[in-house]
Amino acid sequence: MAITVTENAALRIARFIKNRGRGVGIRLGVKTTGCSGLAYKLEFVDEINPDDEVFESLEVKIIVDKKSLQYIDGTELDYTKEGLQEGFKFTNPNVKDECGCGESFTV
Amino acid sequence: MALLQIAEPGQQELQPHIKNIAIGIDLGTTNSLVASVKSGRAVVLNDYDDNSLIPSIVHYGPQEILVGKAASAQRAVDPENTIASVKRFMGRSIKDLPATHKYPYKFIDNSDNNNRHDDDNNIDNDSGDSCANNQNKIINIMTQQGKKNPIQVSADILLYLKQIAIARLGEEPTGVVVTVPAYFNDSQRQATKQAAIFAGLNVIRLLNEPTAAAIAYGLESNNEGTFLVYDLGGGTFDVSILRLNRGIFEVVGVSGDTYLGGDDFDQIIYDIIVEQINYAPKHDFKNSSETEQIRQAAKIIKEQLSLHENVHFTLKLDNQELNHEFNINITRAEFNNKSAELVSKTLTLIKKALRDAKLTPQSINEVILVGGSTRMPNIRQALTEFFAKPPLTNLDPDKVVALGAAILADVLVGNRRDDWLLLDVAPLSLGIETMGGLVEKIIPRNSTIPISKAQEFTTYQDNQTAMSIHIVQGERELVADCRSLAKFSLKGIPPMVAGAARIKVVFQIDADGLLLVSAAEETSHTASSIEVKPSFGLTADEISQMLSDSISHAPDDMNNRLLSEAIVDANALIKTVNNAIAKHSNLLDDTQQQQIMIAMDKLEKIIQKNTLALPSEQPQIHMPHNTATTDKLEDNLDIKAQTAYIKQLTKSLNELTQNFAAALMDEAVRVGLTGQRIDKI
Amino acid sequence: MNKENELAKLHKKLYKILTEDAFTVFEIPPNFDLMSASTPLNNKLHELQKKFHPDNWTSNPSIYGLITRVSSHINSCYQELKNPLSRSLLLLKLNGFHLDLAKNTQMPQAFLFEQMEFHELLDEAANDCDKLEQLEQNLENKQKTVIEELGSLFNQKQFEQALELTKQLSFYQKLADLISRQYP
Repeated sequence: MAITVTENAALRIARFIKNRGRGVGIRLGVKTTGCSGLAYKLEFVDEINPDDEVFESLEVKIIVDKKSLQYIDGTELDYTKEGLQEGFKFTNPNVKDECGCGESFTV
Repeated sequence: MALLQIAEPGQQELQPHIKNIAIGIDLGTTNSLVASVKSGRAVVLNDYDDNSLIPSIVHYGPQEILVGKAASAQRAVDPENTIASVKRFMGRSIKDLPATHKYPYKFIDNSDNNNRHDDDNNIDNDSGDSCANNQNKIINIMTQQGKKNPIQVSADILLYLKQIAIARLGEEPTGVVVTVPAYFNDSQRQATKQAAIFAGLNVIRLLNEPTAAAIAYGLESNNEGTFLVYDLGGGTFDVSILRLNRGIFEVVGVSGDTYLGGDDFDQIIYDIIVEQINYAPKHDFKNSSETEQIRQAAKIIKEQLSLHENVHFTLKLDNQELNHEFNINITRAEFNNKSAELVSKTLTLIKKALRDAKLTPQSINEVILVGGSTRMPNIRQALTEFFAKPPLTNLDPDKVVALGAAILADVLVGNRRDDWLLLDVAPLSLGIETMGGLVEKIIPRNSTIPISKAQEFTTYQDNQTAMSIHIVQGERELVADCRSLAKFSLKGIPPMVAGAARIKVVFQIDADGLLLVSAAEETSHTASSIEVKPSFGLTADEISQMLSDSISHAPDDMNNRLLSEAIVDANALIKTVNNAIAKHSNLLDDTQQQQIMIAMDKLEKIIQKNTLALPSEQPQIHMPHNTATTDKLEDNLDIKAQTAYIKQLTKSLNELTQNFAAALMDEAVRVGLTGQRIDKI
Repeated sequence: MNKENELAKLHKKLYKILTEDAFTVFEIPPNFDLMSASTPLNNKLHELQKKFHPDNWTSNPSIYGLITRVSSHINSCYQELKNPLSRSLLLLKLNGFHLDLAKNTQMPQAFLFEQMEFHELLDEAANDCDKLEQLEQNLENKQKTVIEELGSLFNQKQFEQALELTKQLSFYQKLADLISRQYP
């Protein structure tokens, strides 16, 4: 398994990093919120840590720490526009349930 | 999933649920909807039977209050106690209702003079003059549950919607946007807001319905340009023209008619049916439940006519000694012919809105349809001809208003920092009465809100210490033709020669379109400034009575909510633990597993016992205040105790599984490391 | 402490805006001709409302009421500037000329005749869209001429003549209002 990005997402990520002026890729991760939920994180990466896993999809480097990987392995990252909002969307095959607002989930 | 942005390392706000839950409510004449932005997308929250459209009907039974579908079923059985289309009564008095329309309700005529308390305020609502107050006398309907006014009926609908939202979102909404027809006057807006307050909702905005639709559409297509919204609701018709330009959503013109709606098209079919069955055996249709059955048949036929050129319908009237069956046959041509006048009435209002905005039909980029009645082919045809392009139909005309309201609610509670802003307008001119019963406009219609206007008044007699100000809303020249909003006297003006006093009155329309008036005498520094809220026909006593009524039910709501929240939390935990055990039971020894199982079992049992109290298990709301007062206290104690118990069990299960969770994480890392190439470690 | 200072500063700024006239609020030179403004009026309105609209201050309940007043003031100023009659009245006031429209009815006879003629035409045109539109167009042309003239009068600082012309404009505007009410 791996983490992949859609073409649209790859395009955006490349542009965001270029605009930012530095960065080797983006970090996908999860943060636990107790036993009942997880939340995604999405950050620029300037430095790769020793316990990071690096994936490359459409020439974009995606960095995931090993603890997070089990929860998001197989995830496809897309960039979409929904009404007013545009942003990155996670399609995560591990998710069993999302909370009301969709920001935390369980696996 | 919510849409995410890439954050700087370590900067991302990782705490979910700091997010405020916001909902949008479309409180419609025929149906109501509640929607929310979930995972970055606006969705309608369906009721317990998974319907998104909730009939705006309340049935006041001998024991309980039913809302929505359950109430709808009571319409033909017990029309007297089943109140539908209450929106038509909002902010209105009996005199405002069209005389032609027959209602099956027992209206209470309270023409007795309600004595208003006179206090020491410099300003108070005039009690002496009958004009403003009697004209605005609120409608009261006698039901099995006592006297109900439209605000209370609406509050019951809103409370039901709120319960659906809590059941669907698992949390109490922090902020609510409620939509109103753009053409609602101040009394109708005040009444709507009051109803929401009675339902325990925190109204962050009253939003004009067409504006809500445009938000939902405009932001979806993300096209800049000029939109015209054609909003044919059950009982109201609105036209709004909006411009979306560089992140500003600007309403440029509004027009409409609060006495024109989809129901009027139903009425045409109703009349055709009555005409057709009068040719058959003669019958007297005074009985209101039969009237109701014909009315419902008319609705069905109208929908069918949108799909077929010709509709046959067999109408069975139950309440007959003889079982009567009538064959009805209506063609689309006949219906179009008879409704042509209504359609052209809407086009006239479109022309008016265009004229106001100094626009032509060609300058409209898109036409947006709102309301189920806009599915009628004759309306779509007329619009396509008028604008030389077909209207947009990709969003459901029944849902688009609620979706737009949810989007704005999400923005207003601070869930997103979009760089766009809504500038709405006041649909009706605001004026004051001047000499000879004429209106002097203070704030013209289509003014961007919020807006304020200060007006200076002076005395016209020596030593005059009081003056009367009459505020009206509407476009006509004569006070008598406009809506009277408030009439109050300014008292305590220091005695001066005529013309010396300078009384500054500030008229302010806020972002909800609601009026607030303050006044002060400027030359003397003694007079204070007092805010006057127009009373929409309720006396101060009535408002405080209704408020205290709704507050006395608040603890019940509160306790139910807490219980419901505790159950949602507990269920989430059980699900997670179950999943984890199914996959990774190897990480637990038998004792640990047993302990967890016992704790879960305990929790599940208590949840099961209490789930009955959750709204999702009961399709009808049983208003807590209908239970006898004696066992209320005990019930409450019970609910509280149960809630505390569930919370406690959840907590101990969480603690029990803490080690398990840690082991899971370690396991994940271990699995992650095995089979990796050495250079990656 | 710092936060309190900031709040006090904000309060001061907001109260200051409330006392400012429309030209100051919109940061344009007090001139009848708005062409001299660097940003179009509507753009400036948007710019100001993005800062001061109450919707952008929902998280600040303590200041919400004041913000609503400021936002209202901005909208009122916009309207005052956009409408040539109120813009002219404001300019006159700023230059020390006060015109009470309610008391000013003395008009040149020719003008009054023209008005009467308009009113007669209006009676004939009642409920007739085509006629009303034609009448509206006529009136608009008249107004346009007056507005152009007003522009040059204000440029030359001939306030007394401008005041006379403003009276005419007020008659035209009342008439326009009457016409718009006559549509079916």
